[in-house]
Amino acid sequence: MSEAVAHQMAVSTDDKEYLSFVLGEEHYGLDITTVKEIRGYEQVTKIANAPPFIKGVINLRGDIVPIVDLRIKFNVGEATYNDFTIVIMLNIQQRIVGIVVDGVSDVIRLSEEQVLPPPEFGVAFDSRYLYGLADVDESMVILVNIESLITSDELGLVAPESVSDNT
Amino acid sequence: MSIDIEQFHSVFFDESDEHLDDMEQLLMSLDVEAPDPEELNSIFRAAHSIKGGSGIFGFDALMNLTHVMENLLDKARNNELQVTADIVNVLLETLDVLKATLDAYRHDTDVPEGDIAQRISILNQVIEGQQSNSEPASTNSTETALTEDDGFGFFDDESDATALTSSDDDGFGFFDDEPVSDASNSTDNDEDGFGFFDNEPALSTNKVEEAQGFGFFDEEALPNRQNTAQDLTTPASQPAPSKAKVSATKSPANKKSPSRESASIRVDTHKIDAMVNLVGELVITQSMLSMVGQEVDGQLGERLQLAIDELQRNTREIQESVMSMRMLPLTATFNRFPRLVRDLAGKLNKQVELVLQGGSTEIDKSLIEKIVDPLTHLVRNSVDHGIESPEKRVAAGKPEKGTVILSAEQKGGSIIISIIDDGGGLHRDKILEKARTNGLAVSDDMPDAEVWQLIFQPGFSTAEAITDVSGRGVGMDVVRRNIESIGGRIDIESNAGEGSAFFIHLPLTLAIVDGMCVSVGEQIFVIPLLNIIESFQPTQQQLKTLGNDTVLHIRDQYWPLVPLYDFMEVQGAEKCPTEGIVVLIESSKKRFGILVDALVGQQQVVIKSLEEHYRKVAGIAGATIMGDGKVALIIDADSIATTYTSNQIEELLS
Repeated sequence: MSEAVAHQMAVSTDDKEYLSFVLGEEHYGLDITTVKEIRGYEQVTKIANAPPFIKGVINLRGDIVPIVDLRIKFNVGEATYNDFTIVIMLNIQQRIVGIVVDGVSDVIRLSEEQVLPPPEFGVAFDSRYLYGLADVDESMVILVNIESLITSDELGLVAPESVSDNT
Repeated sequence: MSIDIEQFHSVFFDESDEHLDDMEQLLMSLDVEAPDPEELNSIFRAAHSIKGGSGIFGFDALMNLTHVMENLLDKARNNELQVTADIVNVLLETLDVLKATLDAYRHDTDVPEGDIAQRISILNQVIEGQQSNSEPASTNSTETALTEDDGFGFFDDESDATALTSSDDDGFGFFDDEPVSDASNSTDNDEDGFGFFDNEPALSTNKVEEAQGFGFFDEEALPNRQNTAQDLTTPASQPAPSKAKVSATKSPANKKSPSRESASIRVDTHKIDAMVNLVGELVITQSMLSMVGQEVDGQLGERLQLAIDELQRNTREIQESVMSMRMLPLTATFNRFPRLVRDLAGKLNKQVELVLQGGSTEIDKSLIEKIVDPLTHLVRNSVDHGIESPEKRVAAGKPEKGTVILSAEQKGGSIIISIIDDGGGLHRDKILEKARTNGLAVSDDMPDAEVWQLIFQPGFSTAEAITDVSGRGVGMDVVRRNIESIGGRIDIESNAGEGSAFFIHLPLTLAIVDGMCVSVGEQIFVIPLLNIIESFQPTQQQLKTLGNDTVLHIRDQYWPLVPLYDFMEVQGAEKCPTEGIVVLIESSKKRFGILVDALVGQQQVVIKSLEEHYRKVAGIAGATIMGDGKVALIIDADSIATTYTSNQIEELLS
């Protein structure tokens, strides 16, 4: 896709913006409107009886916010923590959740037509949590339906009753 | 429009509740022999406010009843009607109907039309009954009554301005320095101290005109009033009766200022909570800054240190004042009890005096809401079961009139509310007997304190549990549960024949807890001080093994030991009990020891919810943010006790 086309697309109001991030070798994208902020990884306070991918909680300006490491959850890449480890703070259904990723690359703008249906397999994420695929600069970006992922029972971030409260 | 107006409903309901409470309180304190005109005026004003508001919102039933009530009160304050104890009773009963009606509107249920009609006719009878004493003109029709009411209202009377010169004088007295545009607010401002319609004066004006026939807020009249205000020199033949009215209405306006001007504004609690959060952040930022400041050397460092000290002082003050915003005096809660005690005593043919003490003690708003029910229950019990009948009291050599003392005081970080009566006291034998029939494990030589705690057992919650005299078992389990749910506890002291006392210990606020910070491995946990009995380093002799678990043997008692590193899955913690510290914990039902690495220190911590962004975690009551910005988890002793299901705990506690 040429730059010119991308630019033309950007003018359209139907476009959605995605924040692309890296997990292991793959590029993912999530709806940028759910992103609250991007921070470096900091020391967490561990929580008892939590699955390993829930690293613990941090203090985000007075809010106690859980941190999820998607690399552990989906078994991609290596769960290392250094100065370059990034946490994307998401605001989903009035809840704040941080997800640990290997890096944040870009903000991409995609129109409805550019999003291809997701494959049934071959991606670390279950297809339930996928929105689609898109080609950006000759590489593939996997668009994640981050809201359904974060509120899923599989992640267990949200107590079942409070999900129904929020929806 | 209809949506717009509905957003004010809850404010109206809240205000009306307050007005009803005020009226009740004033009626209770009214000296029938020589009623204080100021008090009568206050009662009238409250009724008037409810009437005005209900008219605006179209709560007709409420308006009709308050209208008649207002007529009666108007006569009373104009000395056209002699207030008697019977009339006070009638008014008090009317308040009950009003409350029921208000609730009906609030919950959208059926308005008790029958009750209202009945009350209206009774009130009218009272008014009629006294008609002979008053001038005929004053009672001949509702219309006249209305204009009389209006005569009081700060602006209502404007509609009559052209007809009655006397009203002109009234209005004038209040209005000359008030901007005209404020006309629709002035009642609320003056009477309540907080501006309810401030932001939508036009709306309320319109609505009134739509909803009501009689011309409140009559806009056309406004210029009229101005004229009169300017026509200061106009002699305005002042009829003699109006003078009395002027003085009657003027004096409250002046005199009430000291009490009413301590007025408040309504602020959404969410806003205050947000502020509490922000201040918490400020405190953390401040402590981070002071850490950095210590690294700066030389003269600059000294100056920086001074500035940081100043900042520290200021932040602390801000924190305190923000916290105090959530605090309300208990007065409003206490004031509902004189009525309750009066009614109950009357019903039971007892003579009871209720003494209120320490109503000015302040407590977190959220706690106030939750303490009302348990308190009501305890006070009712004291009157019902505690205080004996006058005959019995005389026989026992006590004064005929029993006394119930309801008091509140702050002791350190907690509030103690006590309900003390000089009645018969709890009957130890009967409680033990009842406990046995309920299959509870009791013995005759149990200490009193433990016997009294038995009445909080669910099984005691029937009226016929013990005799009528001492059967303090009606829902006491609920009382205790309610109190414990807000982090409090209840103690009883009782002496047979001398009376009993219930002490409710409450935390000052739900937002802050006094805690002991303990370290386990790398992590810090906070244990609420309320739960801690003591902490010590155990010796090998105090440790016994029971199966695979360790128990503590202290002062002839066996305590289960919960290693926190195990419960919280913390790595690298001290596992040997004799190397660590044991904190003895008492939760609502269970006692146990918690093994930690070390005590870090005692401090007040702000409780943050874990559930807001995550979910409930067993054994954790919440989280807090420490001075270095890190998160520490607050231990929930009750939850640990129920979660840590080792067989040993079950065996030891059963």
